[in-house]
Amino acid sequence: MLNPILRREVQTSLRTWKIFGAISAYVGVIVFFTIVFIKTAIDGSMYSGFDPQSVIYLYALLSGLQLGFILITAPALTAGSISGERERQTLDLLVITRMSPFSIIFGKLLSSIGLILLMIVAAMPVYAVLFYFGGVSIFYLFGMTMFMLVTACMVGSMGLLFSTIYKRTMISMVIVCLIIGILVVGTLVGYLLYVNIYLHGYKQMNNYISLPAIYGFFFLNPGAGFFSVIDAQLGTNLFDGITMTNWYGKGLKLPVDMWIVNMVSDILLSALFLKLASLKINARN
Amino acid sequence: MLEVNNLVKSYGKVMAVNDLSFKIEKGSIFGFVGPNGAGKTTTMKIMAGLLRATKGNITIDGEDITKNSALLREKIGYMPDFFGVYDNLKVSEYMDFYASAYYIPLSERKELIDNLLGIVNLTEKKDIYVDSLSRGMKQKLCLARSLIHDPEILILDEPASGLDPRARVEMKEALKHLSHMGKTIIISSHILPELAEICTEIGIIDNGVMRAKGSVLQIMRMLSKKRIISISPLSGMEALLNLLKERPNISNIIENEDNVEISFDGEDSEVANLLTEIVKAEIPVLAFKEKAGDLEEIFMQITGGEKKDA
Repeated sequence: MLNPILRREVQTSLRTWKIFGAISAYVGVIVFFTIVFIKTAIDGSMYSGFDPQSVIYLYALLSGLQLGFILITAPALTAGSISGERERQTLDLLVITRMSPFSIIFGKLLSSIGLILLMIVAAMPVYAVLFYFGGVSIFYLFGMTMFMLVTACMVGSMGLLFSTIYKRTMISMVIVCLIIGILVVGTLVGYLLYVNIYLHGYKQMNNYISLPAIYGFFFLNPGAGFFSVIDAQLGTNLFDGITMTNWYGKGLKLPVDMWIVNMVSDILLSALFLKLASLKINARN
Repeated sequence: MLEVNNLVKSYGKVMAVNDLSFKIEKGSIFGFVGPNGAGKTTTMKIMAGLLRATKGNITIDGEDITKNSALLREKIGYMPDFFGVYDNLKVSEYMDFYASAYYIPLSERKELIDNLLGIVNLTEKKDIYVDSLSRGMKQKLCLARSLIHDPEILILDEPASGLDPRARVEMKEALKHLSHMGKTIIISSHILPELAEICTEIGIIDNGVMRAKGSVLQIMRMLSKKRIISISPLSGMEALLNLLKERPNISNIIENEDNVEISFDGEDSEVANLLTEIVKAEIPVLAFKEKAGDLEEIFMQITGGEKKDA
């Protein structure tokens, strides 16, 4: 049987123009950046027309936009899901049903992820441009979508947890956004400070930097995971470049790709967040 | 039978419910009365499984529902004092959502929802959006929702608050209907007279403590030594007055146009004896009944307040 909360949320959200407006706006932004990119690539090309080599950068750009969108949308959808029920005075009626606290929380997460998936699917025709020029496999797109959905689950379940802790939606949303900011920017800044202050600059870092430091700073950074996926798919060195681990081309070689560490951490953390959130809404706790 | 045993709920040093114990017979309508903040909602929320008791337990037919949430969810239907509804959901869809949340099979839902909407007189509104319903209709819808899994016990927290007189009457009718269906109903209010006419039993709670429990008449007798009896003779008013004046345990005889009201000091058997005497004196009696008295006054007396005349 379909999760009752998922069914209700899909039923009610698709009845308003809000969701269609949001999808249209999102696809519009993606289309806008694609057109600007192709125009710039054509104008800047040494050859007449579009350089097919640019396709991989267009793929990275579109995927990056999508990740940014997910990092904003997933917590926005989930951070108010339980506090919203509380504010609307419907939470008590929900927790006294036969649904377990976990299925209530999971239904909420599924409905948020479902909306995100809908938006990703809506943007697929734009990705078709990539296949027209070639150079990007459909499996790359599938892999990237999986990475994004796992990231959305982690960020979304974090939003859900804070939504159960704080009674006001606004507070939980602000806190989740702050945490995501720390995960994306804060860990990068922390790492760069560590390199500059603790290791006294990049010149010596290849001698001193340790794997635990790299994994420790970036295991939850969605940006690090994203660049690692791009590196794995397209053979670039974006993650190494950002972390300076390959400064002289002879730096550290990560034994396990960062995107794998990232996805495993996200899955484990999502499970923890969901468990804690379901304990929190259990009325008898 | 539902039994509340030594229930305690404290928030730090504040005792919301203090060693509360009572029993409610199957099929009865139990009125839970008390001023605002007396502990009614806290007790009801513990019964509904929304709060954990600090001490004590609640049993249904001997089974402890405070330790068995599956049993609690199956046996109890709850309607809170304040509740919200979802936007963009029609009445039938609202009911269907809760039916699915109680895992009622899809094949049974349509008939069940139609029946429940019929009980609360909302059949004609089934295709209306819930957020556009009046408060009274939302209350009735919430009552129907609380019945969706066919619970044995219904806990209704101030179901008539904020309703207009017509909606109150309709709510009472719906409750009487449910009582006839064999449901045990626990209903709270801070207005005693509101409950007196439909409840088989009443419990008056104040500061988390049960101050009095019993039928309205029993509670009245507990507080007032004298009972007020109204006698309506078909004829022979003079003879009736003479008979009553001779009785030692009768005081304050008030003669009205077609009846006599007396203050009677005595047990049930003595009331019966009085009626027998009147009949033996060949005075035709049209009506002989004990009056409920001023319920507001009783309530204020029990809860330690003073009735203020309007």
